[in-house]
Amino acid sequence: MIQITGVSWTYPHAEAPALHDLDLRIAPGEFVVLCGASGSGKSTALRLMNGLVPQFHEDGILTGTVTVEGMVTTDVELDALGLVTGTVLQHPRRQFFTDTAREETAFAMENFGFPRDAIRARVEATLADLAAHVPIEQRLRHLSGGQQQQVAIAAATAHDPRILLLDEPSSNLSADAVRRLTATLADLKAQGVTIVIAEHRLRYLQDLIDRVVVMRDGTVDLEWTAAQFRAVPDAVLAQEGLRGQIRSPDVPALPAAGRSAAEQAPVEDVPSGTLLLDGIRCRLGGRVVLDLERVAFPAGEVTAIRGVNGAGKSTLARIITGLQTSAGTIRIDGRVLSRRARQRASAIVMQDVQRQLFTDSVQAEIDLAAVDAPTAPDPAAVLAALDLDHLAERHPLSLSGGQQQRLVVAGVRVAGRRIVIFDEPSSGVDRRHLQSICDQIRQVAAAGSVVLLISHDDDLLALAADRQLTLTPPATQRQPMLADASRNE
Amino acid sequence: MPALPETAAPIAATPVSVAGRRALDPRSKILLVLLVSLAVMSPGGLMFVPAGIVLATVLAVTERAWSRALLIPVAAIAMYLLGWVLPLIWAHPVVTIVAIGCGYVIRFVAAFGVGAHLIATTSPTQLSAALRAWHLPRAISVTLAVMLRFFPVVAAESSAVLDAMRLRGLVGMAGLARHPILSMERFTVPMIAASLRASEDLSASAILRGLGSRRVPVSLDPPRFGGPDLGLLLAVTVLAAASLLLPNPLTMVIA
Amino acid sequence: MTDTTVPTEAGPARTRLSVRFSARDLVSVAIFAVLMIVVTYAIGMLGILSPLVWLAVVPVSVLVNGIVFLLFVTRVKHAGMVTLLGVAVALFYLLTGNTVFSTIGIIVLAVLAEVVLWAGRYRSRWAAIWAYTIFALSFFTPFLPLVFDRENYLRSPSFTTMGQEYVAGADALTTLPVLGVLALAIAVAGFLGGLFGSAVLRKHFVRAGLA
Repeated sequence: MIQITGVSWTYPHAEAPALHDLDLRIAPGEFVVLCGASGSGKSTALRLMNGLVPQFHEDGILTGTVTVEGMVTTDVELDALGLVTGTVLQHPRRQFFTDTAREETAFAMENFGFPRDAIRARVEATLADLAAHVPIEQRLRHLSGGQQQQVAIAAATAHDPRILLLDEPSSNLSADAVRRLTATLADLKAQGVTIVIAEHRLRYLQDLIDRVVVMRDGTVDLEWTAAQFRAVPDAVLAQEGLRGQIRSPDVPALPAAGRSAAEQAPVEDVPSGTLLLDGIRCRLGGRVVLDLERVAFPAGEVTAIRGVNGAGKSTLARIITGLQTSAGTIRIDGRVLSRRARQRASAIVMQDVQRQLFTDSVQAEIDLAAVDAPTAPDPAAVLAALDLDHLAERHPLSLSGGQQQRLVVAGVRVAGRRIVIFDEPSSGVDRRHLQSICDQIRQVAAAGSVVLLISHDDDLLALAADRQLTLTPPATQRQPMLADASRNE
Repeated sequence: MPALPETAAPIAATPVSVAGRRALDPRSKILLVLLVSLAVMSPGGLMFVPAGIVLATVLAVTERAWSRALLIPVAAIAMYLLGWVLPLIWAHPVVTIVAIGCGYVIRFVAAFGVGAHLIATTSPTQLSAALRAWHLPRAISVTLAVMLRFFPVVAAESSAVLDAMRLRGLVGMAGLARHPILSMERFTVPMIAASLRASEDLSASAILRGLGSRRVPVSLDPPRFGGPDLGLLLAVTVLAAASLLLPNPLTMVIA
Repeated sequence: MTDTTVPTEAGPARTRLSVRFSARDLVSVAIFAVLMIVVTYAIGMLGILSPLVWLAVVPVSVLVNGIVFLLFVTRVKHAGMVTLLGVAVALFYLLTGNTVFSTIGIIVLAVLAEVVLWAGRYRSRWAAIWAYTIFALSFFTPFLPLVFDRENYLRSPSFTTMGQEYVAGADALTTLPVLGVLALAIAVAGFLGGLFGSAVLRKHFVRAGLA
């Protein structure tokens, strides 16, 4: 059982509390979804339940009490709470401590000192279950997002905790993977596990939930029972900043030829400003990872790049931006661009934007971007357009994730790059932010750039993409990677 | 993790043996590194350098780390040419300094090659199990295991930051020469910030799953000495004997 | 609901020599140790070009690591964490084939740095800068074989064939005073690295809420 009583919490260095006067009681075996807009405190509330708040985020200010399975979370060590709870954070691949499903499922039990025979039996049983959907001999980082999610849940529940906490488990999952996730959660619920999920997509959980708790500004805004929730129309969800049904992006395919293209179609008319790729072939580690005979990305439009892990999406981005060498030519306006020239003409908005913030203030960041701008832009106008002008003196790393992303986009626009690639820009954002990210992407395209959008997020693609290119791993038979497992020494 | 995972490939590509069976005991690998390092770095250590290079190259071949298998002998030959052959052809004080440097680096190549095999083929779990088997304090076994896990993370963040700098035109010898301090700052600050952020989820999840707790851990696959370790012992004995008995280009006077 | 099969009696392990670090402390030491090593190797890669460049990049490594060290100091929660950082870095270098001289040297220097920090109650800016000046001397430890083992480096056969005067020349180049100058240069770079780290800390990490 989880009991949260009168809790307020302020993160270290934060100005405003993330939670205030939160009261919540979750009964054994209950299935509860915490939802709400970004910043409503749903993930923070989840972190109260495994003690990460306050124990991991030291120096924050906590009032009130949280009791989990009879333990006051501030009185016991984190591992004691970890023993009774299983946690799956937002990006499974960022929390794997090992590189194989076997080691990962054994990890918690090893650390908690379970008897060796019990660990072995449990690991074998878990792997047998996983094997139905996951190639368990593969390295975890080579699995698809959905498969990684399955392994993460198995690893979080192997030590048989009675409570399972998940933070936005459906973000970055394909519709298929979401269905598998639903089935896994249904199994766990049937075993009597208490499940709490912080989530912004809701419909896929409709038949499992006992209760939906909508949070706003760090406290409970309203609650729905399962029956009430089923009656709530998507329009009401939208008002709360929530995502209902996952949209399926109905976007026309971009003509492309080559072994990497999932659907082949001849590339014909090439209007000016188009980014034209010819005979692009790239080998990494002795394996062909990308093979595109011919494809043309139109300027002023957003082309979605889709495909499973290992299909070559990132490689394509790195080749186009000149970060990776390859065979073949890349032209824009009919002129062949060297690798150097492409580096100067392109920009990537990375998934983790902290990697591309170099200066000590928002203003300085924009000034740095303006240095090599082809035409004199108006930095102030760009800042104002992205609602960053009031932050001009702030340190970029002190901004929220969404603000950092807008700052990087502002820099891209000031620098006037002709090729702009967005890499998973929407991981874990609610509907309102989704719209704002989409607007930014559209504006970059409207300014005449060739825009590529790498994303697994069907909601975003439905909103932002004009065309899509689906990549597929070019090598039909993978290299004998699986056989490597038997290597000596 | 990396926005563009391929960036991590050059550093993290070396595969780790999956099953943990039929592989060298991590303790053998640790002892081997210490032995080779001690042998080549001690007075008179040049005698063992060729054997160390051969060993490091063979280990790289067995784990199919082809680039390392090539790099080690090439580096050793380059050091030999610069440090042993060049001084004979061209007597100059600078050559002398270079030669002294090479005498040091060639030893390091041998020891580093064996060390790289340990790092590349040992998973964090295996390393901490090995260190625990030797009863090292929890603080050390846990910290080293976590370090092993963080290396690919920090390496991936570093190369992603470099990529981002390249696209902004912030990389290049000209810029480095003009604003050395600023260049260092522009790389280091985002690299540290991104690495700290990338390590957050990893740490939180691992700590909740009992990593570093005061409980006594149990290993699913406790380290065990076996056939391969015996083979290694034999190989090391043969190489040591060969070092003592066969003529050695590094200690021989070239006429 | 109670834990079912779980051996809760595993409880607190015997208190050994180790200070009571929390899991969070250990993880935090590990990440900073990795940052230091990656920075050092990344910059050291430039030095692979030739041993001469290698000498030139050492001060650069020292300078940049100042940022990492000073940020680490702001996150120290318990006495002993700087020592543990030194031990972790030293053991890692040992496992990747560095000399035992380096290992011992780094640990000793880390303990000394810890003492300085402790004297400044871990919150003094100048104590942190001086502590780093001391710790930075660990970049001199790779040269220790030239101190303890110079005969072996100088009497290599090629030198002997080059004639007596070159042996004498090499001898002069690697005498203790020359190596002393190198150590001093590293210490100065360490002090500057401490200042640089402290400046970057205030310019970036404090304002970003990371320190």
